[in-house]
Amino acid sequence: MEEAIGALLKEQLGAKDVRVYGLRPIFGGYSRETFAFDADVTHADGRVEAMPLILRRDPVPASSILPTDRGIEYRLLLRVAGATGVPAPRAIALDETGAHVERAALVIERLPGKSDLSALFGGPDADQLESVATDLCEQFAKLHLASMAKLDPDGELRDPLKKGVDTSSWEAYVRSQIAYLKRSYVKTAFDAMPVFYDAYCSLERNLPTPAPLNFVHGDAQPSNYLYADGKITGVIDWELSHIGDPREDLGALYHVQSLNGWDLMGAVKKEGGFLGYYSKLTGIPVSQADLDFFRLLWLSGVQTPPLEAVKRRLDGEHDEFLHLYIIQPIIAGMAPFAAQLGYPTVSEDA
Amino acid sequence: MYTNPTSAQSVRYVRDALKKTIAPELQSDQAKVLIAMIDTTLASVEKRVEVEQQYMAEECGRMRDLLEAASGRLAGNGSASAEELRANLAALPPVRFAPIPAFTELNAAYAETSRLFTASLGSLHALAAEGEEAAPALIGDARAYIALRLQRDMSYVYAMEGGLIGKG
Repeated sequence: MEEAIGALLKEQLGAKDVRVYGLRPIFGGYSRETFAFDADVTHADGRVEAMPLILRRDPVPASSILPTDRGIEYRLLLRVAGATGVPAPRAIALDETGAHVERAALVIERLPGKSDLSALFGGPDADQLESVATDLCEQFAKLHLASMAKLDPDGELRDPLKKGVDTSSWEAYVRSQIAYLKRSYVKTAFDAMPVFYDAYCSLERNLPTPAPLNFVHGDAQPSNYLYADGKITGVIDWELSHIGDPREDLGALYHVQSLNGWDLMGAVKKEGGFLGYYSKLTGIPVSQADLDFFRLLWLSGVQTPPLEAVKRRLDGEHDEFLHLYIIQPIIAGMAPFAAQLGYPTVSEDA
Repeated sequence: MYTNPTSAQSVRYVRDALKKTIAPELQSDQAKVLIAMIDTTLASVEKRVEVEQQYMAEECGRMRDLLEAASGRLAGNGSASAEELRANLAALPPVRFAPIPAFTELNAAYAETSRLFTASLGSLHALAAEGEEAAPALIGDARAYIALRLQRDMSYVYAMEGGLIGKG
């Protein structure tokens, strides 16, 4: 594997020589196979550069959980840091067909910073919490004000998961997202999951106030930020990026921090708090009702590919055990839907 | 509650994973013997889980019937053994269970009922959007049931208290 990655880097960087070492898996998610490694790159002019890098490779196609495209991710990462000023990893190399490393993969730079945000919450970095959270709000604003033309010149991000999303207007976008969720449910619900269907129908009946469509990170949960010295040093995991309603990112953050108790939003003091500060920076008003709506929309969106993956497993398309195991988090994932929809507390005796 | 995969199917998937992925990696004879024993035990659970409740309920009735018949036939027998038999009959749990449908039949009916119930939520939401005054309360009633269903799933299907494995 190290040799194959070295050959890929040598070819795409036009280097004289590349030595890859220290390859190790990172257990950071189920969607991609992720490895950290280091490379000493000898450039054509003889200069040797030490590069801390990450390889993100597709899993075996049949067992893929998230059908994202490494080529789209690579092209986005070539642009995103420059176009937004957000600290995103630079794209280094792309093996779009898997010619070098068996399956489609990209190599990106490994950013500095801590990825475990728990240290900010009552841990050794608690004094950095407000500063990091405020910086995060500013990074969101930069991202959501970025030029779509620069970030997505070819329109690849308008419907990257091929869901039939229509970005011609805000209402068309939101309604087509919900229509996709309902279609997907009918097609892939391997078991009846009424709470999900109830959520999709509720979203349709409770559209928030429109806002301009723009660039959305797509998986803006706390585990995708790196920090150091009171600042965000990296925003990672861009595979779900798309053109959409920027408030989706706020919904994602709000949802995950509600689950793990890492209240980044509540740590912002400027302009009356995270939402006020964000609105001032972006001009996008965000109410609690908007946040609730986009929390549910984001959660529904990220929940759907795993449901489809479990269905493929139960239909016998492959024999990966992971897809049976993720039924467990899917069950746990129903509780936030029920809470958001205001389900009553019940007991067996009722 | 969750019905697909069924408990038996889940056990089958675990056995497959043990056989295809885990067993070939085992080095010691002790571990190889142990995995064969585990497979046998799981094969037993896979078979048993779909019939045990039906059979237990039905056999409670059969045993009671037999003891009642014996007690009737031995009505005139005053021996200690006959007394003991009558005492055993009197001490039986005071229940007679209604027959439980065969698992496959129950599972299919539950799945189809659940599917149609879920689809009907869409109808109720559409009615609410059209201004039907009764619809919001009917949605509320449905949600109270779904909350119970979720609670049962969390109590009896969910088992991930140790956290998400393999994800950092």
